[in-house]
Amino acid sequence: MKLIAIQKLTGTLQLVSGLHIGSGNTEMHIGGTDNPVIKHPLTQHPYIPGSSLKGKIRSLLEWELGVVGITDRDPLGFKHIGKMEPAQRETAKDLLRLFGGAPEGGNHYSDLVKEIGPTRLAFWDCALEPGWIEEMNGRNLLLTENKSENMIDRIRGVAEHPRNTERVPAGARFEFSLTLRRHDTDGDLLAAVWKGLKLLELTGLGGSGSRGYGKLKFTRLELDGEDRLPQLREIRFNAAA
Amino acid sequence: MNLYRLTLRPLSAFGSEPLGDMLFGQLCWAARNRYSEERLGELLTGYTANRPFAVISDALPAGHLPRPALPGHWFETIDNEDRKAAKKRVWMPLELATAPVAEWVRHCKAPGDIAGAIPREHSQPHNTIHRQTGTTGEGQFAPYAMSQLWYGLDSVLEVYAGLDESRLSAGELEALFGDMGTFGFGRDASIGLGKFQVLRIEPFAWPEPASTDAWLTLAPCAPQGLGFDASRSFYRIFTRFGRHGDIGVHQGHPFKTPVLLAQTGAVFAPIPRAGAESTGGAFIGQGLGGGNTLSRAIPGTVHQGYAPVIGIQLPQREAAA
Repeated sequence: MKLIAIQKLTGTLQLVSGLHIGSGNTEMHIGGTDNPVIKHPLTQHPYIPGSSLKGKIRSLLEWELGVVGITDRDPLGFKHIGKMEPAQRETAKDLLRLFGGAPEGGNHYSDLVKEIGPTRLAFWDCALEPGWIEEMNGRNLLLTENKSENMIDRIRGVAEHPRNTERVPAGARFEFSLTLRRHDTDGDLLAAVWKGLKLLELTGLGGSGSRGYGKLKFTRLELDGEDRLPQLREIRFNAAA
Repeated sequence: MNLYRLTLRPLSAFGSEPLGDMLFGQLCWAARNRYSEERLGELLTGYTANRPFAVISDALPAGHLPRPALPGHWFETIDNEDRKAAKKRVWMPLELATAPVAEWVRHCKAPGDIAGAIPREHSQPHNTIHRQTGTTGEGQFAPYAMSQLWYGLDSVLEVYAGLDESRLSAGELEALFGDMGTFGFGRDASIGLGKFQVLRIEPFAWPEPASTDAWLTLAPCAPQGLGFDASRSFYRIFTRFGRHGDIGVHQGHPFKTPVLLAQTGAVFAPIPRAGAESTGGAFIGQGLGGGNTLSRAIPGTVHQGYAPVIGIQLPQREAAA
């Protein structure tokens, strides 16, 4: 097993609806929101952490593969491979090749670890596109918005429990980066990557997804400088239709 | 052994501070992945016998050296100087490093004056998605926080590498550092941390002071039992609790035996010998490990106890003063 290439996927992620990735509310600000978004600590610009992208894509792919019934709410790991149907096993191994597996006690899976090898995907934090920052500064607008929410009292039909949530507004553009290590023993791991990115577009990122937050789309996607957006557009998930 | 300087630009926060021994460890994994396990074995031949293929320094702010870990009275006294403020000035501009060390206190800068000198620590929340519900939850799915090190904008770091070019070429070293930067160095590399760009690699030679009588280390090192003059050597110790990276984390026990090291910026004076001249050595220290001493999971594990060094001129003071 030998590293033969590092492929770099770059692109532009544009928000279709406001995005909220929480920052834990560790500080109290006068006039601040109840639920702030995560920001670059030096520039105070919002960004998308690589961990948010990786975690969401990984969990979506595990659902798509159908292994959630076996893993029983846990992320897919080495210990689950043996319990799978043979038809499922190779694809599950590809998932472990791409995303890695958590260390599990002892040497029980060392053969499988050697077969799988190191994690192939490295996600990068996505910073706001400089052009977007200039646009917003030029229009004298903020980079985040405040959204008020409440809960409807079912009997009286009135609003109660108001709260405000900070979001990155729709239209914002982030610079997307993803590196994929190719080893000489690897098959086509890119197929799962396209699927994962497509699932991300279809379901969204960050908190409150079922309320409409965090929908996004790729407006540019290049693999080592070559356009791959058509490849992403072609993926469909309508087997059940 | 030839000396090279790699210039790096941080592109993200870091989970681990880029210290020389950790950079060396990840360099080994990068070499193993890029070139093969056999090639790594060849590179490490003689590693614990004073024949390293590479010796990597910490990533230092561009154009600066750490101030030596000397007692305060070994530096010149400056009248009307706030001694506490002076203690915070810990980065020495490289072009002035030929001056005797006693004078360095006049030239040193505080971290706030140098772009990217000290990364700022910042907490970032995380959680694991509960696979069945798609939400956070309790137990392993509860939110938790991890600290990150954020370099300032426009920061540039420099790594000094001693290289045995009969075994690893400068081009190969640059490619391996490029791999590390693309994929991420240290903790949480696959989720966005530790990314950097290699701007250039160039042959490098230290500016020559008029005379030197001690070494200043630029990486954590292991000086134990190497015959330094204890009365004129100064260092801060720390214990490295190492952990395997890459697929090593899965093989049995990922934790290595703890190693006692001297921090970067240590001063070591050789014992004076009649007629002895300053050696041209590019590094001091020793290679640690091998033969199952550092790791139960990977018997051949080694640890960089070497450090690149620059010669400095110490003042003639008694340690007990």
